[in-house]
Amino acid sequence: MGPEKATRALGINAGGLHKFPAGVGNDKDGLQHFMLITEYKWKHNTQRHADALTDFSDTYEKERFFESTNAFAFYLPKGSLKTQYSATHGPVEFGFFGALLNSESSDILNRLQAQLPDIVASDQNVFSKAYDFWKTIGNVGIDELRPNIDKYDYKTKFGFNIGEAVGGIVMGKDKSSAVASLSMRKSGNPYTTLVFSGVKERRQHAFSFDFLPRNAVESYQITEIIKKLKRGMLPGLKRSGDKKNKTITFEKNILGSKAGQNYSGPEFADEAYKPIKKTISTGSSTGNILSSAFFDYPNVYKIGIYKRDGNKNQYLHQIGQSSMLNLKVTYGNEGGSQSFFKDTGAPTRVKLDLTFKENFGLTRNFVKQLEGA
Amino acid sequence: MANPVDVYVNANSKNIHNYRFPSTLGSIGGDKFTFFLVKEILQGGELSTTGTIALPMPTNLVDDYKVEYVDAELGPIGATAVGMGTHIANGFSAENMGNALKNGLKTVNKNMLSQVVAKKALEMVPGLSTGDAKTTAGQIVTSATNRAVNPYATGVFKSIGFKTFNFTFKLYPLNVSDTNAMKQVINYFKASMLPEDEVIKHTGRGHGHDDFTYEQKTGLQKLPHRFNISFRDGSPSHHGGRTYYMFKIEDAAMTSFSVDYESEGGPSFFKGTSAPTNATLNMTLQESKIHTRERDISMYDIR
Repeated sequence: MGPEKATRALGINAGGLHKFPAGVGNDKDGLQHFMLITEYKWKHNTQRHADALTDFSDTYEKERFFESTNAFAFYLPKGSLKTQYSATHGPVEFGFFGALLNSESSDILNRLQAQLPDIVASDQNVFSKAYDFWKTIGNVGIDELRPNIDKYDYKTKFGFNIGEAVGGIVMGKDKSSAVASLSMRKSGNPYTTLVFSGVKERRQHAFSFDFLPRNAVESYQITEIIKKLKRGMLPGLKRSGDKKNKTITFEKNILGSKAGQNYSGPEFADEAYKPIKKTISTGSSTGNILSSAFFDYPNVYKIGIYKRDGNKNQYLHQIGQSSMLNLKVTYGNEGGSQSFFKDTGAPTRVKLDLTFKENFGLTRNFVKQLEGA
Repeated sequence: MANPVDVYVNANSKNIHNYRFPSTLGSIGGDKFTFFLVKEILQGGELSTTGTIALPMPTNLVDDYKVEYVDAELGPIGATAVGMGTHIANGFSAENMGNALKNGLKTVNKNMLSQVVAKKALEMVPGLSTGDAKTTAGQIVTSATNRAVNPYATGVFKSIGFKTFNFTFKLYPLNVSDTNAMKQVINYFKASMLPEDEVIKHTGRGHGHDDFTYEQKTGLQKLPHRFNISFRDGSPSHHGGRTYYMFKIEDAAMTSFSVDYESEGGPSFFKGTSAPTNATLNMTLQESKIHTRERDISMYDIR
């Protein structure tokens, strides 16, 4: 089936796969297309293959910094196949000098680049070369700008400044440019340009799943999926200090193992629980344990839309490594009457809302890597 | 079969403040209900049960988890520092630190350096901009070279807030017994969510030399009570009846409680008692502990 093939291809342990409904991604049944949400935990990795900047980018692109924990295969909920791209551009008023510099800055840059000291190579004379370099910066700027000042309408600009100065004698600074403008019947060109200022918005994807379990096993599967997802998205907070442990006996639900043996509900009684012994920390009751001063980071996720053959649907957008911002579970009908299965007390409807936000701003490289375009 | 509400109340509370609505709650087999365990905060932060309230299921059952991330624009230098910091943090040693620094230096390349230097050079031009000269200089370099410095925008985990829950209970009394039960439930919620002025009793002697007692307020207040809330499936055999499929709330403060006696379009009263024919309770509760992975495991896996 599709989810199994997809997780195998991704190198994810089959035991970590959770599906709902069970037949999702089946080539014989409906629901051939499915969503696969894979969960990853940060992995300590001291191996470095590149410089620090490339390493930083690699944490979002490559999986050598993360190990997979769980995978969740769901049907495609309504409204899930949409995304948005944004790039921030803003108008900038360069003004006269700014525009002049802009027209020449390419040459300035080239000259500066040619004169850069060989800092990268850690040359022995790096400091003396750097000193020479900074000294030449001023000369480069002046050399490049001087021949151009005469070419442009510099005299008018000069006159305009005089007009502004005269206006400034009798009124506030904000009105002085109006005086100059009216006197000369000219208005200053702000040299407005639209300049790219970066990809500031990271993509956000929200999915709303409506689960309608038909029996105890499906209710159990949904509960386990919610449990795994919320534990992945929550930060960890371990205890520190002198720990004292004690062994307790608690009752663990064993329906999960029955579910694996084609257990068909709705029986869900006391025999579904088994006493288990476990050693736990006695926590703050000993008085010498504090919660750690640091949270462990929540896990991260990758989301893909797959076909029944276990391959990604290449006709759709792809979503990169994301963090889960919100997990909301609504049991029954919100604001309406509630209904539960008679035997198990499980709700007959569970709505699961998930909101993810990508961990990086998109670039052409990321999109190419994600979508293989 | 024993009433599951009785079974659960007896197992959890030795106090007299045990209320339920309707008064017959649990008497019909399979009734699902909401169970409030009201706890007083003792000195040292320990909690002691002071009473219980059992109500039918609320109209909204929402369990909401939110994790807060902040947007950070690290820029190339910040991203390099993160890459180096990760290296150092993963294996702290002098050799490793040295490698990390060398690794960081490798990121200094001619293209990036010239872009930064050109920006710095332009910033120094007097009168470049009436506004922010630094920003304008950066934008000029971007515009002229068709290359922008990667902001390395990313999300940084900030915190996790306290979980908040809103519940609405619609109560329709059918008889005087239910009316009284409704009143008791409302009164107990009010009393439990509010602080209590601390009072000391004194004994004095009057002019006629008769002893009398009087109360003096200390100016201090006892804290409002906390609430543990769970949803029961009505069967006393299932581990106190807590349904495995539902969430629960522990150690929560009630931050808001409202009672609406005219939620059905207008005020209406019973003829004999003049008691309202219905009441809608809206309450907001906020857990007093942050919900981390470890807390989730201890709340749901170890019972």
